[in-house]
Amino acid sequence: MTIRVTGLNHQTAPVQVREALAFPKSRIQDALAGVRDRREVDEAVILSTCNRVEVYVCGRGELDEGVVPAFLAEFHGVWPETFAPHLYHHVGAEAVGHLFRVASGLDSLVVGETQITGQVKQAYEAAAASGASGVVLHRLFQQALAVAKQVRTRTEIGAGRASIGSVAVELAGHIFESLTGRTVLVVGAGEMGETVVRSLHAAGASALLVANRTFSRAEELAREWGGTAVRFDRLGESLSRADIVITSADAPHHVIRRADIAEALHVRRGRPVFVIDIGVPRNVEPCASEVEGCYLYNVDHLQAVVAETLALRQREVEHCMAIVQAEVGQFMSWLAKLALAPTITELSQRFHDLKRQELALLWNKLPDLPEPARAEIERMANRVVNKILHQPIAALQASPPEDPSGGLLAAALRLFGLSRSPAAPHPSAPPPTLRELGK
Amino acid sequence: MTPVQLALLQCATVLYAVHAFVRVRGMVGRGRACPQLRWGSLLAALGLHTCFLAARGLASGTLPIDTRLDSVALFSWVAGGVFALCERPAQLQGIGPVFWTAFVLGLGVMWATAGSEPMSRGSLARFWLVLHLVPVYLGYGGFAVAAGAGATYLVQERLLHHPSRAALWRRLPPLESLERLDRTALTLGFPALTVGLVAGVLWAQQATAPLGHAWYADPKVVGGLLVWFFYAAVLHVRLRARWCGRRAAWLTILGFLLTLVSFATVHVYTSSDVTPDDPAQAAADRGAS
Repeated sequence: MTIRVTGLNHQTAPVQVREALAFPKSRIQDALAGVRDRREVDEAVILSTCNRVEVYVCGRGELDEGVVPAFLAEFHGVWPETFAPHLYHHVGAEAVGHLFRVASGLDSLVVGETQITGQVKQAYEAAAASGASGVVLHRLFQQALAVAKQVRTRTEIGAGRASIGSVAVELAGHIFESLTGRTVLVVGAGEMGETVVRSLHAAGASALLVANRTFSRAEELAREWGGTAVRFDRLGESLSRADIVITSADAPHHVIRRADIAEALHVRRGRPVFVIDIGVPRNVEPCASEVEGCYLYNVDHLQAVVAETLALRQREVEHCMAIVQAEVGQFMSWLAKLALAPTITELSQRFHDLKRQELALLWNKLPDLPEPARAEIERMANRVVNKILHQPIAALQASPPEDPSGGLLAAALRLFGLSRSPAAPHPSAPPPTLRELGK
Repeated sequence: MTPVQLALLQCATVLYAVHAFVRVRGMVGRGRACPQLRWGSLLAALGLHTCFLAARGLASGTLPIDTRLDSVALFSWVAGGVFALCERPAQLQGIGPVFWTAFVLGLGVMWATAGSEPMSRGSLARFWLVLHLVPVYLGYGGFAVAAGAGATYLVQERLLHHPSRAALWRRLPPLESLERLDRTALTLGFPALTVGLVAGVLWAQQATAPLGHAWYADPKVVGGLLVWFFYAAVLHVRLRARWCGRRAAWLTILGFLLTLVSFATVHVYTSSDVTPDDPAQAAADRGAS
């Protein structure tokens, strides 16, 4: 029984290669059917996002490394040489660990991001809906989603925000109780200012005032963003109304001075004001932050928070990997037990059949035996069979997970004269498929 | 006070210290503190503390105020209980480490200085004491919460001026929430203190009239009134003059320090709260002597 993943991601392949191999949502079902058509493949899941394309396959025998590349080349109509150098291949425990890392966001461009967990879930659901995933990949993906949840709740991998806009929202959220209904004043029309405005708006800051040196441009932006244009010469008045101020004006001098902020805070009776100065050169006099109630941040401040967040997440990766490793071990041991299941069932069946045959002979020899005596003998026979079976079954189950078809299983097969299990395919007796096993 | 009762309070104090340690570690350290230990230690501490007060209350037949240690235990129980209820909202959880550390330190100092020898009180005095102490302690509990919120406000305000210390400011509540908690605790604590002081003054008048003392000369009354006037002024500037931010936070911290000083000096270091069992008898004794 083999689990294999073949794929490429933002670290191994440029965007041209990734987009050439990406699976559009509308074609995922066809693609899944295409992989399943390969003789060696029993189960398949395809994970296709903007940063990665990965095909997870599972087969009862050995899975050749070339299976998935051949499928990718055929499905997308591209030469294998164009993408083969960018591919990575993981088999067995490595493939399992890879999926757990991916689902937990540990393999993402921004470490600890949560979007990937949802994408893994969607990929699995698509495979389950089309019948491409069976008992092994079902369990694998369920466990991957559980690992992602565990990693997120038990470590700080998802701590903080990792973009300028979301950091601004986070900072505002530590000054104000809620951003709902807050007034935002935007001074200037810089691109980064727009990013921050959009983040704040999404977080609930509803009233928007737009000021620009050219009033017509302010009106244009206000229309675009759904706000109100205010005149630049009446900035002071707008300043006292605004809870949040974002400046990204292209001006050679300070647009807002310390005195303006002090005046606004006086009018606001001390209610705090959150100022983000994205302009270069800076639009707000830096000493304005000395005024009590003014929380002034520039681009460097916001970038420092982003860097600190990413550094914190990076420090957490080690703890996350410990969780992932433990879960990989658990999954591999489940997989080993799954491979043993048919052998154990057959072994048990064989002994119970023997017991039934011998009891039938005994009842024939002693037809006058009273019912209570028969029941007692039957119970005794059951106990004997169970006690004989206990040790071999326990020893088989305790055999190392990485070697389920090793010496002990082979010995059991020979000693008890059992048929070959799916873990050790026999040429003359084709083993049951994994889907049959799952029933 | 029996050794078992004392052991209950000792165990509760140790558990409060464990809780404070877990909370501080959770704030400055890596990862999330073990939630079972965090809530388990607090619930166990409050439970043992309640058992101690219940045992003392059953022994005295009324509120446990027979010894100075009882008074400290009752006061800290109200303050801890009020805070444990107040900090439930997720936004306010960050204030906990600051509060519980201050709580354990305060409890330790008061414990070290308060004696456990009994103070004699008559049945009339008991009635007035209950009427006086319950609201006063509720008021003090409110002021303790306000001071915790104020101290956290000052820390958070400073941190937000250094945004790169994200790991720290992320763990503390928003400034507005802290300010609202501070204001709410003050506006609830002040009326409670007022009711308690009025009852206290009436009691002092009754108790001291036969002795020929002026009730307002009692250091307890003076201490209580001082605290009351201070908080009246704080509330005035906060609600009427709309003081907020750093100044308001400092005022609530100062107010609570004043409360602690007043509580410690008047209730623990003076013997004026040993009110005679029977004022008439005491007056007769004075006449005889």
